[in-house]
Amino acid sequence: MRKMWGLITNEYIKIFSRISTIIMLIAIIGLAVGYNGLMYLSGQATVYNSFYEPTDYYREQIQFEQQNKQPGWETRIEMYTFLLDNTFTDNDWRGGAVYEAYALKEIANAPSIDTPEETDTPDGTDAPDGTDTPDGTDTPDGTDTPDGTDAPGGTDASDGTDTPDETGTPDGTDPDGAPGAKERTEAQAGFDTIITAVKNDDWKGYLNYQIAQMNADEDMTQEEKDLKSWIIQYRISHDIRPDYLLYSQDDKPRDNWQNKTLFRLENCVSMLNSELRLPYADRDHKKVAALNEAVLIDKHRLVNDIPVATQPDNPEIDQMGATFANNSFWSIFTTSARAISFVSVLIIIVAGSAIASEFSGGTVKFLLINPVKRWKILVAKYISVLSVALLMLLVFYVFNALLTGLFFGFGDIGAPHLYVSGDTIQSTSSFVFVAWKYLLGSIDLLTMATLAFAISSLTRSSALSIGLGVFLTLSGKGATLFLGESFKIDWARYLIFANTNLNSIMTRTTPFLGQTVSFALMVIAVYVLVFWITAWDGFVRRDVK
Amino acid sequence: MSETILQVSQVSKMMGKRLIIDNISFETYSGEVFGFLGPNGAGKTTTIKMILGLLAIDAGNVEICGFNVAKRFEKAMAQAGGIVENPETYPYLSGMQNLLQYKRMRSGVTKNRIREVVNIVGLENRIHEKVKKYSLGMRQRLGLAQAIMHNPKLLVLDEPTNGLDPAGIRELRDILKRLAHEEGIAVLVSSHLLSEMELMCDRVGIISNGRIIGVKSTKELMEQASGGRKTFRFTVNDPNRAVALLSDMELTVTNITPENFDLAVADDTMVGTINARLINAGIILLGAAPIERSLEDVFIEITGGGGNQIA
Ligand SMILES: Nc1ncnc2c1ncn2[C@@H]1O[C@H](COP(=O)(O)OP(=O)(O)OP(=O)(O)O)[C@@H](O)[C@H]1O
Ligand SMILES: [Mg+2]
Repeated sequence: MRKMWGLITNEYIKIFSRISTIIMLIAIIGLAVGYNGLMYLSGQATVYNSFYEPTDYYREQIQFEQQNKQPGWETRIEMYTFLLDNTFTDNDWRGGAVYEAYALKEIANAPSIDTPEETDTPDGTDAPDGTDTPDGTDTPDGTDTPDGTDAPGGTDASDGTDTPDETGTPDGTDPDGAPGAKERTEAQAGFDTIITAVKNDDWKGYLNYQIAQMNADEDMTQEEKDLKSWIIQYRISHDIRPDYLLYSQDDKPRDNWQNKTLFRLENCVSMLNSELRLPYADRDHKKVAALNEAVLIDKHRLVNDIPVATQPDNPEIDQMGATFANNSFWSIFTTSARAISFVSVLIIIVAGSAIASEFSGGTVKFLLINPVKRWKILVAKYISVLSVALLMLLVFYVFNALLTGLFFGFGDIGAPHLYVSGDTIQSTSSFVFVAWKYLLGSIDLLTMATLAFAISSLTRSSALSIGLGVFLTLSGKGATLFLGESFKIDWARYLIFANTNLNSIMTRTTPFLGQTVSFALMVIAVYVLVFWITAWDGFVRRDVK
Repeated sequence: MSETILQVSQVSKMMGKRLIIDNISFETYSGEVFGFLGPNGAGKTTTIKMILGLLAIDAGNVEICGFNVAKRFEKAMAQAGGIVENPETYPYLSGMQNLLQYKRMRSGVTKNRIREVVNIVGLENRIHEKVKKYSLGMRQRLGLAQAIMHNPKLLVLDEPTNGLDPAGIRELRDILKRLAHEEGIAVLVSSHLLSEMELMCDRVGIISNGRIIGVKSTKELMEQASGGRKTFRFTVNDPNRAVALLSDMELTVTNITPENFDLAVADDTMVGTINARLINAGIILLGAAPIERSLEDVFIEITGGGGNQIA
């Protein structure tokens, strides 16, 4: 045992005395600097730029309506005039509410003769969800920019190109028929309620109106209603205006975390329910589970006052905006595990030369005439390569954390990580969460190191094992993805590269259906065994000529 | 007093389809320097690699201190040290760090012992320098230090005089002789420098084309070489006249050049007679010295003219 420790010490000394190892450490630190610098620069590039003043837009629309005089044009001109008189800020809830109100007014004022165009609401959408606003922001996740390219409202209605199935009024009017008398009265009442609320900035009144509307909606499941009214009740009891979120202005106080989370929650609920409306067999059950989890976590955060938390990776939900601000410490640091494959290149250089350099330097003849069995030396070499790989990852982790902090600030550094275990929400340090991602990423790294190690033993050539190892690492995953995605070759799932990226298997972003972590681990185990037999044969059994 | 340290019994080795080593056997004893001589490609390195476990043994056995190298590798190697071909080292480590690498793989080597072997090989002034700054001779010395640091009973050196200057060769010769004669180590040395072997080895095994063609003591070998005679080189002002003058004596003249001539004599006492005759005849005698190339002659004679000839 003491001898084994001596052997490992020998290997460490050799690895760290080679000048290239120092260069490697510098490379890792450089990688951390590069990663953060790149993220910083790309964050700078997407700076929010408003090219379009809403008032200009309203004036243009009024002019447009006056020229074209499409059905309902008077109502729309009234709306734009109202908006002009009341200039609301981009994200003010009243902006969207006005659209919603005038959509109702159009129904109330609609002529009794059938005209297909009439059925379009001014903004062509479901107003209560507030998905379109004058500035063009898609409110809940705010992915649209207010440059007016996605100009809502007028355009759709005025050019009359909308197909009937694309539309629908909030109260579910038959798109092909003119509204009945009852609908007209209801619509008029709705208009009055909303406009009164807007005029008094009575957002609670507006929300109450929405609850009433929702309760009358027969398409919604009880669960959905419960969740949505929970959200509205939370707003009312915590005094959180339903103002919209603007993508690049999350840091402004008005876009407080609760509002943001509530919108996210609303979205999760909608997505969840559109899944649940499908027949059982057609549902994406993992997505349903993920959404349920996200809903639980968001409610937990709202109830327990946790403004910032990292959460399990979830591509569907992450699209709707993370719980932390963009370009903040956690938004950068949680994704830094992606850069691990560059660290693999470095460790392949170490692994690929571990055995081969002894042969090329001729030192193997002195190494193997010691009273130590060859397999012990092989094991010592392997252990040293693996531990140096983990050490490199640790260095990368630490430097990434430091540099992310320097570039993006250490705000929210104490944010917890929330995840669902069984039915309860568990909380750990987010640093632990990222460390786990690194460890998952390390499986890839260690497998590639083992491959390079095996090639090193087989060919006894540093250049070949490093070259081949780096080539396979950099191209293998892409090629496998290509086979799976473009050619639908299913057996590609048995290739090592289809299995080493456990992070993406966990988040279900692999092209191979039903890929599970345990399957991947099994495949990896088989490959590692094969690599090991190769390394063993090359080093322990073969002659040293 | 002398025990068998290395026992090579009927060892053969194939490489590809060629039989490189053909059923060779020999042993070395404690307290002797054993010379392993043979032309290029004879199989010296191959044999040494099998002794030290670098190559698998296809047939036969190698035992070091009674431990079979193939079966009880660690026990056998604990008693052996060596240098195979060139003394390769980790160039990015210092001489001392190189030695420490081997210390960690062997038992019972103390720091003091390392200092001692560094002194023995005369590297104490340069031992903390990176090995990439060493000359070949210095690396050879470092290799020797590595080979003897754990007090092995068997020391195997493959062409150790490679790269050493004449003073270094003499020093090495003295070290090896001392290790064998005073510390009782069995030393196995392979080399091409046959005159060197003559001065350093107690016994010599001659290998040619993968076969041992004779194991003899150096003395026996020398006698075989001269057929009981010794050769002297006479340096004179007029070799031709001198040879003519001596033609009546029972002598074999082997080599005449403008400066000198070689004579094989039955015994040393004849040299005095010859000297007297030459001086009396007015020939200026500049020197008369025994020639050191006898072993080479034997060697070439026994191995059939050197390594170029592959049987
Ligand atoms: N790796 C190898 N593959 C095939 N044949 C080999 C190999 N190494 C050596 N040989 C052959 O084995 C024979 C013995 O080689 P070896 O190196 O043992 O000779 P040597 O006596 O040490 O020669 P030298 O004095 O040149 O060092 C040679 O004929 C050589 O061609
Ligand atoms: Mg040789």
